[in-house]
Amino acid sequence: MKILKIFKATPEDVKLNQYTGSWAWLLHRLTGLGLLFYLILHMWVLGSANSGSEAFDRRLAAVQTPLFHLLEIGLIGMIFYHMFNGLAISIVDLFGLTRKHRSFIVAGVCLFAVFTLFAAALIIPRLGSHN
Amino acid sequence: MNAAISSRSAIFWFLQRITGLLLAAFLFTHIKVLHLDFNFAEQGLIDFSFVVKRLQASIGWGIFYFLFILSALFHGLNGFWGIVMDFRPGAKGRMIWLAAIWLFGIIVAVWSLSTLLVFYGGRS
Repeated sequence: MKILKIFKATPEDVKLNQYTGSWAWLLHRLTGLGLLFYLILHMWVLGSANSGSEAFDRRLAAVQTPLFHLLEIGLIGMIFYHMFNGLAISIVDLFGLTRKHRSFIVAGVCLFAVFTLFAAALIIPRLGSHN
Repeated sequence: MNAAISSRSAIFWFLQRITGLLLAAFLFTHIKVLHLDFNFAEQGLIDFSFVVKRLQASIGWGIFYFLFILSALFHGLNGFWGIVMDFRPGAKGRMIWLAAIWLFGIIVAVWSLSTLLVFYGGRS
């Protein structure tokens, strides 16, 4: 359970706090870190434009392979989870709906699943006819 | 915790919510245009001329990405600061982390915004 060590938690802590909110909080943290890492990587790829159009085309072509397009689905999933859970947190915080927080988290997870599956259904068939 | 720190924390908490709401709108648009509507199987790979043509079609895209970059950087780095604070660093550790995050944020912001300007100065 290395992940628990990173967050200074023990398996016992998780056993004692098996609430929807605890798991939503942990996933929000993990997807947030993943997206921050991706943002920096994305700016590094796009920043090659500072070295000219050829450098940009070369670097961008390297990340437009079938594998990267497949990984895009994971990225979109992380974005939608973080987005809908974040919206749920904002609504609960700004409108004083703490007592309803569990329903908002569940609604956020449902929206994340629907939007991610929709994106996957669009992207996967395109992988077969990749240029 | 004194009143000034508490008030500053409240402002950053509020800005985290505001940038989060802005990012939801920016990301929906960005994903729809470049990941869902754009079909790489039919339209080929995205290249420099494609980006220049798309951005130069409207200054609105420039404003969109300017705000997008700044919101994403603030939201991401302020969120990271929240994680750092979860580990309860000492006063010296807090200062080092805060300085590093600000320095990193300013460098990435300048780098990203200069990249955006390249596309407005380039030819498709």
